[in-house]
Amino acid sequence: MRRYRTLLLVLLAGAPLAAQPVRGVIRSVDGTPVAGANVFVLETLEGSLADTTGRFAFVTTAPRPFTLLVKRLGFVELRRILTSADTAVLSLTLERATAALAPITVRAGAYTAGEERGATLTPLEVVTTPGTAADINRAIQLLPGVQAVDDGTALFVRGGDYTETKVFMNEAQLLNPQQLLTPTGTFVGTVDPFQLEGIYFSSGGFGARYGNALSGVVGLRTRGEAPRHAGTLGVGLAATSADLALRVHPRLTLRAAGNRTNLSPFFRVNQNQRGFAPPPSGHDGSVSATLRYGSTGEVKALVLDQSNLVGVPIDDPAFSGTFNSRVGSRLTVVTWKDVLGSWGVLGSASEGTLDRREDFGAFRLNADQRQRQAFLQLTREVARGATVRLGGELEGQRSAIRGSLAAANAPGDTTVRSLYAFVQPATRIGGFVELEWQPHDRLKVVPGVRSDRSTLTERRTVDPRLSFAWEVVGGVTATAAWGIYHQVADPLFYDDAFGRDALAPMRAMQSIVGVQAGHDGPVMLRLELYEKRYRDLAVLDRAYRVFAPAQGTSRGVDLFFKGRLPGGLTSRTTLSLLRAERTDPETGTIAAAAFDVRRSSALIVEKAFANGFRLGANWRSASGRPFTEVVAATFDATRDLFVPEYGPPNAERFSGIRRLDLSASRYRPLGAHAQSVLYVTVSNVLNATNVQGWRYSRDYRSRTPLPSIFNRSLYFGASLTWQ
Amino acid sequence: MRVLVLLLTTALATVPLRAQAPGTTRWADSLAVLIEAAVERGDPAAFGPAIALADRVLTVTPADGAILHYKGYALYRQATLLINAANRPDDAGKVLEEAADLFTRSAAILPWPETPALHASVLGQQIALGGVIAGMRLGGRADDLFAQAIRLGPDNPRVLMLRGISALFKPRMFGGGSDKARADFQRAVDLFPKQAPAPGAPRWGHAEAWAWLGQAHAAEKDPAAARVAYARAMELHPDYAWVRDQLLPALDKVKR
Repeated sequence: MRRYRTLLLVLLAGAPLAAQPVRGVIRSVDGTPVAGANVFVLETLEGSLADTTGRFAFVTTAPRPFTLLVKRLGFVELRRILTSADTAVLSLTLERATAALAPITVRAGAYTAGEERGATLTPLEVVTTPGTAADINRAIQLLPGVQAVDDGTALFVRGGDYTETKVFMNEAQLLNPQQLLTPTGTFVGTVDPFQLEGIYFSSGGFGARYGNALSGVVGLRTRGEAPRHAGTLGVGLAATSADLALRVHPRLTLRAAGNRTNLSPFFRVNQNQRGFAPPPSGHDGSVSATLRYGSTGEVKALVLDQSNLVGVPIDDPAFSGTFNSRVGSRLTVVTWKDVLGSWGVLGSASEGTLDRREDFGAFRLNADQRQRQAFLQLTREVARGATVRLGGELEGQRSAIRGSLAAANAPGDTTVRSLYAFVQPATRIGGFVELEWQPHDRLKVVPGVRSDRSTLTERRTVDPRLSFAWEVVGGVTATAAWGIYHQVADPLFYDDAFGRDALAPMRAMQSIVGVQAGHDGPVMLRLELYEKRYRDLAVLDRAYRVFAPAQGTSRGVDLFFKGRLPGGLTSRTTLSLLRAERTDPETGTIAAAAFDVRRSSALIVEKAFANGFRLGANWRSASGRPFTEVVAATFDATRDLFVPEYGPPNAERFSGIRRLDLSASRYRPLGAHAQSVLYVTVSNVLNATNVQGWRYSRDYRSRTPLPSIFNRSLYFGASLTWQ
Repeated sequence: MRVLVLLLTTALATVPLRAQAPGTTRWADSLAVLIEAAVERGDPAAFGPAIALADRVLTVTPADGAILHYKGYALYRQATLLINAANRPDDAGKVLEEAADLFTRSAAILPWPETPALHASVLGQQIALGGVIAGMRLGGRADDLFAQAIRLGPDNPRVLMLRGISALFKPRMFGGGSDKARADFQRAVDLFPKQAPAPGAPRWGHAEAWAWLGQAHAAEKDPAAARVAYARAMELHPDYAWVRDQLLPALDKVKR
């Protein structure tokens, strides 16, 4: 007891004689008590937390006057000088802050895959989706708003043609977002998903930054700085790949990646349903360097080189032979980002080339494209909660197209007869300004406008766009977007040989309303309704002549759910309902669009086990796309062939697509710095035929279904990662 | 006696505030005390005063590595309780994100070995919440952070204890296992009596290391050794509710 008394005396001797209480209550502007506010004296840091009624009380030794500080997440910090006159119970009012809050990341039509908060999917969720074969395009096809029109990887977004969706890599547009082109689709997307750190997909309502795209936008961001040296080696039934990341300096990372695709082994294990000869094959290689300088600057340079080859037999009453396609492309892009003063700067310069050779019997098509693009965007916070973005792009494109016919007048004759040839240079310049404004902690408004001018259309377009997100209650956000979108038609269409030289820019007006519940947690539900009105479209008829102006509409509902199920299962579900109509170029009447797939759905269920096993199932179904029926045929004696007569445009429909894919993988660490993944996938487990077209008899009296290239098939492989 | 304890508590709470030196060592010590008190209470809300005090100090000295470390440590402990006691994994996920950010900032300023070790433990919690995919994404980084912590403090008992905890929960195929954990815990309890942390530096964990050693023994079906370890924990911390109310009764149940 004596010891305690001594201790107490020592402590009390040092205690202040002038300790004074500070008491008060904290409310927000609307009178609501603010619980949990941190109230303290700046000079001594004495203080307390406000209770659930907003009340606080503590004792301070600070001599008056002193500064009382009140801090609470979501409110503007309050400072008040307390003098000896301020002895009563304090009544303090906090104003809600906007910029202090986490930004609203939900935006109509937008989906992201990345590690950042608010991302819809992680990159690994993308690449491990069953049935996608780690293909970015196929994974995006499982997001709502993308219609399963054919077997391919092209992105048909909300009733639009796939050419209406533009793909950007590190801000530069990709000229060939799909590879291994066949008449019924493309096999693979263009980018190795393991080289990406972020994916942005907008099915509509995107902001003013993106121009020359009517329907959708995909933004891909390649990996930059590596935390350490790393490498991956992958071997699969149809592909081998390797990549290496070298952190040669704390500020410099070099990356190289290569991928070789050859479907011959795949067809030996499975069936070559469509008789590909040669089987699809290709390669791609990329090198990149990422240099970080200062505390905010980064320069990234990337070269991507790709080539592929495929041959597929065509058996048509008008022609029987092989369609051969050989495509080579290269993209070089340098991206720069930094913060200069109060401006954030993002710039890129790129050059892309695409060299396409297609043989269809004696007919040969050579199409070469070269595109140079410069893009610059400046970002600045102009006021609390208000960020302005402005920038522009300059795009120079040169398209050279040549059609020829092998003369073959005698055996060994290799001469060709030119049918047409033209070179079409084009320049497009565009600028945009956009304000991202969060006037309230639950409301975000993004008005913007962009303007473009192309030497092909010789017209200036002005596209106002507006989107907003309003967090109605915690975690539930209502979204809406409206905008005008323009796109220049294919340069080919501007040549007199095919089309006309005065085509107007194609135009779409998009309107979207939606609601999303949950955006930062494991469960997310999003529902969106949209309408698109097209005009001044340029489309090709059966004889490859340009028809313009065409018009059309798309209306639909997209539903997306991501969540956890009992038993540790994770699930993603998408449902898209659509009605798309367009002017039929043959009759000039409004009819169902060729990509009017009225219902597309996918259910993905996955289970990850603690021992590294991962099982997944993906059930996809879609209603059939429309086609125009051949109702009769008349014989043309001069050409020695039957000429088909067609029924009402797109009045008939294929039976639809049903497909179940299963996958299993096992992740296994090999020591502290290496991991292996073994995987096996069974695609189209139920071996559904999924008719993609018709093969007609010579007189068109009978037809046989053209099945999907994806019959039941097995794929397996392994990857080894070292880091 | 109760009055005396109350007076003592009030006086102790006042002393570091009043005796604030230009440095923040005192604040760090105060934070350590508040965090241990919150850990003792086993309630996520009990970390409020510690986090509030850290915020106050960071208002004045926003780049103080020690205070950033202690705030991160408070959040790590709070997240652990949110996951285990309160079953609020979503809230824990956000707290862990903030803790990881604080440890990154702290490590850039102050090379305490505990900082990367705690950061690695935060990643371990995120892996536990996120499953195998999170493990693939974060596992290598957690290993790097533990390696960094060992480089900074090869004989730091808290680093060894945290690495042992990681090994105890990590499946053997991913490099974990109770034998590895036990070795780390044993070395930690041997080193704790020899440690002499500088003022303001972390000094927590001695009794906890014995409690973890007991759990490693229990996992290896050695209840006698586990009981001895728990007894040592109780000797060091006679009111150790976790050992008294949870670990010892669990051992008794197994015995029956």
